[in-house]
Amino acid sequence: MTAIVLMKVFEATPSCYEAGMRLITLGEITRIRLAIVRAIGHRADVLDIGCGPGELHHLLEPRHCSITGIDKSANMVRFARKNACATSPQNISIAIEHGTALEIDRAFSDRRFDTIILSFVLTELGPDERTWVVRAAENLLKPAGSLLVIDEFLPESALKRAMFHIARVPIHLTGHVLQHVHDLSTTGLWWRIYYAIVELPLMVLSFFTSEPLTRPIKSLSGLLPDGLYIAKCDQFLGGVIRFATIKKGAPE
Amino acid sequence: MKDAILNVLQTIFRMVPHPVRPRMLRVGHPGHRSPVLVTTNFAVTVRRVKKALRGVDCYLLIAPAGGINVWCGSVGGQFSVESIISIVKTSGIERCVDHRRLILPQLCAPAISSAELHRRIGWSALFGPVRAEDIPEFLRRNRKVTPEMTLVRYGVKERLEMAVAMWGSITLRYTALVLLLAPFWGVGWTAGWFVASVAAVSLLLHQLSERVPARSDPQKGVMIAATVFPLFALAEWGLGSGLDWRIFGLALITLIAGYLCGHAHAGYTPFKQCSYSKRFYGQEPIEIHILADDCTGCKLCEQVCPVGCFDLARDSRRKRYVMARPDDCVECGACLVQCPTNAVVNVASPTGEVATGVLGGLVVPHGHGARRTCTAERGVG
Repeated sequence: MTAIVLMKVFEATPSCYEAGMRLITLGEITRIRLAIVRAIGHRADVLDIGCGPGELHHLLEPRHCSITGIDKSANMVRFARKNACATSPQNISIAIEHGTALEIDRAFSDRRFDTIILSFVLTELGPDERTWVVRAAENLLKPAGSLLVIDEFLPESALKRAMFHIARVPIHLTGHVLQHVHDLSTTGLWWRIYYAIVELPLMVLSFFTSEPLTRPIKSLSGLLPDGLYIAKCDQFLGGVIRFATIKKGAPE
Repeated sequence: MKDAILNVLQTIFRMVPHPVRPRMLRVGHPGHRSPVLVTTNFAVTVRRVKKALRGVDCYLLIAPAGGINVWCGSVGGQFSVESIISIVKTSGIERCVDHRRLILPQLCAPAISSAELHRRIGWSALFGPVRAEDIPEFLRRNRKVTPEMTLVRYGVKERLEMAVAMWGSITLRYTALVLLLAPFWGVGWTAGWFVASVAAVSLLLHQLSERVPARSDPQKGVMIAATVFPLFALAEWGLGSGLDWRIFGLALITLIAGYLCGHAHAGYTPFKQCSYSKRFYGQEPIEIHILADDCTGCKLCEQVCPVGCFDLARDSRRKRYVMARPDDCVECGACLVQCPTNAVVNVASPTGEVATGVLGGLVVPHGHGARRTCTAERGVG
């Protein structure tokens, strides 16, 4: 949860993104990525929606995959492309496109994939956007393909959910303030401190009036169209982050 | 009644986002050929547009833009091509109409290019009027704007609205700091005097700023505060509150309020840039020039300019535009983004271009996802 909020602060700076992610997830990000690698077959065609700086792609080298990444941030796309060129992986092909998750239908209309990864993407989307992206991803999957969803989930029990929300407010508020101060282009510590002090009342008010930084998924099965089913679901960070493997077709 | 209360509250606290759920609205009885209008998901704007569209049959797409108004959202990067893509894809509008044409509010021109929209989702876009009230007339005129429809207005009503917004944000920002002076006069007097001073100065400053004989806005604010203070003191004496000589100390609070209002004032007008944005958001300078050889005279720059900077060149045999009133330019960047032949250049930038999302703008937004945003309360929805 903390990771997802603070990720917002780091995501504008690709070089900091990875270090930030590792630090604030206490290494869980590596376990999650290894789980993703295990879920991907040999010589698979992979679509990574919201690929970020493309750190996952190098882990897929032993899988001899063909990877297509797409990210909405032009900064990230540049960084991921540079990253792919710099390391020149031997056994995989990497192509990075610039675009949002809502453009995958047009961007890849003539392609089908064995695996589509949605890693920390759905929580950043609105409710209608989520439904649309999952349906569009289904259309891009090959008949036996799988959709990997890694994201923040709401706990199922009412008590845990209440505790989750209570814990979330201060963390999100901190992320909200940090993001605003981080985004400043002004130089000088004193100006930043001045800004943080003067703007704090407005930042707090805006935190409560604006849309949340992320919206944890309440029910993944509610998002799935008839042609998809959850084959497997692993938990990380005490169940706050889950890794669902979604298959195309009827449940076995 | 509920709308009126919400309007007042959301005007006072206009500095923070007020989002509504992005969705498609059917206004009247729209059919397959009805116009499709787009607006931002700022609650005040949505109410105004819905009110203006009474009697019109159309679809209204409320795009996700962080709950910020059209102009601020577009210069700040929240109301972007991605917002339009999102609402077009998720609303199901593609199944509702036969055509693929959107009508966008003119003030989103700094961020949304019709060419880019067409390339990315296959929809073309036409810029409508600045103000929602002009939409029915715009549709009656076969979707043609008149020159008046393209200009931002800043009359008594808009000035009042901005004065209220400025009062809300300055009192929220600075009351806690001003309370450091509370040991001298007590919390009640200090806070009350400051809030009342900000209200009086912002109201007068917005209505009279052009008539106050001072060079800078902070000077104007202080002059108005110096005029307001004796009236306040007289009222206090009349009420017989027994504050004796300490009343003169409160003059300091009124002068502080005057300076703060004056300093912020530019950010609440549609015609000036704000030093706050330059300081904190690195707003790039823009100086527009039109390359005579590249201009095809398509009129788009004139149509998207909210302050009417452009004119047809009089000394040219072919139709082309020139930057006729550079001093009026509000540096929104709409002409730069929209020019189809790149004839409009920013001579203040080494590349002649400007990055969308860091343009113009005034006071600070606190919107979700706001990145280096300079949103403003420009008096327009």
